[in-house]
Amino acid sequence: MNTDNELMLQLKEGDLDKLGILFERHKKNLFGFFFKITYDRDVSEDMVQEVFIKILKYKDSFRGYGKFSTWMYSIAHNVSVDHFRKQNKYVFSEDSERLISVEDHDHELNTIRDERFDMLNRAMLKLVPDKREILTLSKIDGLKYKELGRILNCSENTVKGRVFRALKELKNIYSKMEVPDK
Amino acid sequence: MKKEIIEKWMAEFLSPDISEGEKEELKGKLIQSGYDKFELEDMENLYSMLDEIDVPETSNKLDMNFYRSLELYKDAISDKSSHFGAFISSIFKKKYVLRFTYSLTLVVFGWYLGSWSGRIDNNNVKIQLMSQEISQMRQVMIYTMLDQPSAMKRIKAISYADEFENVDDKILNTFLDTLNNDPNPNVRLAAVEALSRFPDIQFVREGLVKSILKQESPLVQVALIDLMLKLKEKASKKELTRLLENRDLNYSVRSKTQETIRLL
Amino acid sequence: MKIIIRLCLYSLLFCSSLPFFGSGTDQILIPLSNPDKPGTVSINHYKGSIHVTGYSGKTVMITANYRNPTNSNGMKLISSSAVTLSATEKNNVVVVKVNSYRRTIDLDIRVPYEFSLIISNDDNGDILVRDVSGVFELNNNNGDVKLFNVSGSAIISTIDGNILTDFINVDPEMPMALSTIEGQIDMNLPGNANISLKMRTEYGEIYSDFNINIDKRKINIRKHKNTRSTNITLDGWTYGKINNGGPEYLIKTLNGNIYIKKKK
Repeated sequence: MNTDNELMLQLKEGDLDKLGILFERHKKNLFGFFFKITYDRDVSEDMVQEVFIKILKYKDSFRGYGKFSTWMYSIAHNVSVDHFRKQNKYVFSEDSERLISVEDHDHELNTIRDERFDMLNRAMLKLVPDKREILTLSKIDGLKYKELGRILNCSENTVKGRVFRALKELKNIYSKMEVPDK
Repeated sequence: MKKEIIEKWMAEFLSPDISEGEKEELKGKLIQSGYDKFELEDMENLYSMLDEIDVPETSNKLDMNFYRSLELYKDAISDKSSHFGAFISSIFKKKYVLRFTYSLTLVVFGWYLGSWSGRIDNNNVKIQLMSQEISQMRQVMIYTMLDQPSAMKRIKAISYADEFENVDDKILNTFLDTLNNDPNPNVRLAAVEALSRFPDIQFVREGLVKSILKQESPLVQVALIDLMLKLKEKASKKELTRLLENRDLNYSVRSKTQETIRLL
Repeated sequence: MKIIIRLCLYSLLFCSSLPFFGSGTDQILIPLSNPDKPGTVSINHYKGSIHVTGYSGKTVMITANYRNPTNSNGMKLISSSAVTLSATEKNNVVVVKVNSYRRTIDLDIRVPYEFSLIISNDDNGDILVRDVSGVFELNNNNGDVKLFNVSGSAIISTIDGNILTDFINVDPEMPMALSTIEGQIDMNLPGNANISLKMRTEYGEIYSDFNINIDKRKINIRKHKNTRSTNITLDGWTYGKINNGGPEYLIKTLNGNIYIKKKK
C-alpha cells in the first residue's frame, strides 16, 4: 500500500486518481474534525470538499518532507479560519438550537450518556471556535504537539498552553452545567 | 511555579504520546504544584470524552460532489498531456492556459472579496460562498472543456453543465456561443438541446431565434426549427422566412421550414 | 521532444517515378513520435471516399487514388500542379492535407489499431472505418459513414448518408452522438453495454432487439406485434436505458429509421 506521501507525489506527477485514495483515507477524519468545530453536517461536508479542491490546486506546494496529514490539516485549519472569520462576532451567541436539531437525527442512546454528551456539546459550543479547534486537533491520531505547531504556525509550547487553557475553560463551563439548575 | 510550565506539563500529561512512567511523573509534578488528584482525573475524563462525541456519517452527496469535481478537473486537463491534445495544441495551449489562469484568478479574487463582504452578513454567507467556490470551480472546468479540440469532450462538457442545479447567465451565454461557433454539428446540436430547457429566459430565446440564420448544417437548422415550433415562437417567423430565401437550403429543411411558418 | 515531419508529394500522375505505386496513386508513410502510443489522424477532405483500416504496423500509411483520370474528351491527365497530398506529424497527431477541390480522390489509410480519427468530407464518397479502437469524429455531408469492428466512441454526422456503427466495445465514460437528415441509423452495440439513449426520428421508426427500458415519464409507448423487434416509435424524443444506463447517446434522423441492435 502506498503511503500518503507517495500518493501525493504521484498526484503531483499528474496521476489525479490518487486524490480519490487520499479522499477515501481522510474524508472521515476531516469531516469529524470540521463537525466538532462547526456542529453542522452540511457545512462540514462542504469544508471537506474544499480541502480536497485546495489539495488539488496547491498540490505543487507539497514538498514531501513533512507528513501529509500535517499539510492537509494546515489546509483544513485555513478553511476553518476562513469560515469563522466570516461569522465572527455573530456566531457564538446561542448555537444550541442548531445543536438540538443535529441531535434529533441521532438514534436514542443511553440517557445518562446522552445527557453527559449533550452537556459536553453545549459546553463545546460555548467555547470560541479557536478553542474548539485546538481541542479537536489535539485529539487527532498521529498529530503530535510539534506538528500542531506547524499547522497553527506557532511553537510547540504555545500549542501546549493553548490546549490546556481550552480544556480548562471547557471544564469550567461543563462543571457549571453539572449543577442542576432546573 | 511559572504558569507556562504547568500548562506545558498538563498538556504533556494529557497527551497520548507519552509512556505510563512519564505520565506518573508528570502527575506527581502537577500535584506538587497544587493540583488536586480528582481535578486531574476530571480533566482527563473530560478530555477523553472529546473522542467520543457523536459525529454523523457523511452523506453520499459528499462523495458524489468530490468525484464529480475530480472527473471534471481530469477532463479539463487531461487533453493537455494526452496525444489528443497535441492536436492544434500549439494554437490552443496558450489561450487555454491563459484562460484557465484568468478564471482561477477570478475565483480566488471573488473568494477574497466574498470573505470581506461575508463579515457583515450572517453565517449562511459562508455556506453560500463555499458552494459558490465549488460551483465556480466546476464552471472553470466547463469552460476549459469547451475549449478542447475534442468534440467528444465538448459534448461531455455540455452534458455536465446541464446537470448543474444553478446554471447562470454566463454558462447559458457560453452555450449560445457554442451553438453559433462550434465547428462540429453534433456539439451544436447538444447546445440546442441544453438551451431548449431555458425557454423562459428572454436572452436565450432571442439567441436561439437569431441563431437560425447563422447555421449552415441542416442538422442544426432542423433542430432549431423544431424548437421554434415547440416554443411557439412567433418572433422567429422573420428568420424562417429569410431562411427560405437561401437557394442552397436542403430540401427537407425547406419543407420543414415552410410547414413551421404555416403552423406558427 | 518535438518531431515534425513534413512530407509533401507533388503527384506526377501517370508519370510516377515509383513504378510500385502504379498509375494515379500517391502513397506516403508517416512515422510516429511515439510508435507505442495511440495517435490521431485528422483529415479535412473535400471529394472522395476515405477508408481507414487498423493494422499491426507502427506507421500511418496513406494511399491516395485519383478517380477518373480521364477527362470527358478522352484526354489523359499527365501532370497536375493542383493536386497535392501532404501530412504533418506532431506528438502522434497526423494532419493530412489533400487538395481535392478539383478532383475526386479516394483515400486509403492504414493506422495502428489504437488510433483516433477526426475526419470530415463533403461529397463523392463514404467514410469507412474498420478494426480501429479510439475516438471517432466523423462528418460526411453527402455520403455514408460506416464503422466495422471498432471500439471506443463516436460522434458522427451526415446529411444525406446513412450511419452504420458496429462496436465491439464502447467507452463506458463517453457520450456518443449520431445524426443525419435523410439517412437511416444502424447502431450495433455489445449486449452488456450500459447506455442511456435519447433518440428521435421525425418520419421514420425506431426498432431495437435490446430490452430497452423506456422512460415512461417522458413518453408513451406503442408496440408493433408483427415485428420481431420491439417498435418504440414516438413523437419527439424517446428516452431509454440499455442495461443500467450510462453516458447519453443522442441518435437523431429526420427521414430515416433507427435500429439499435444487439451485437451477436
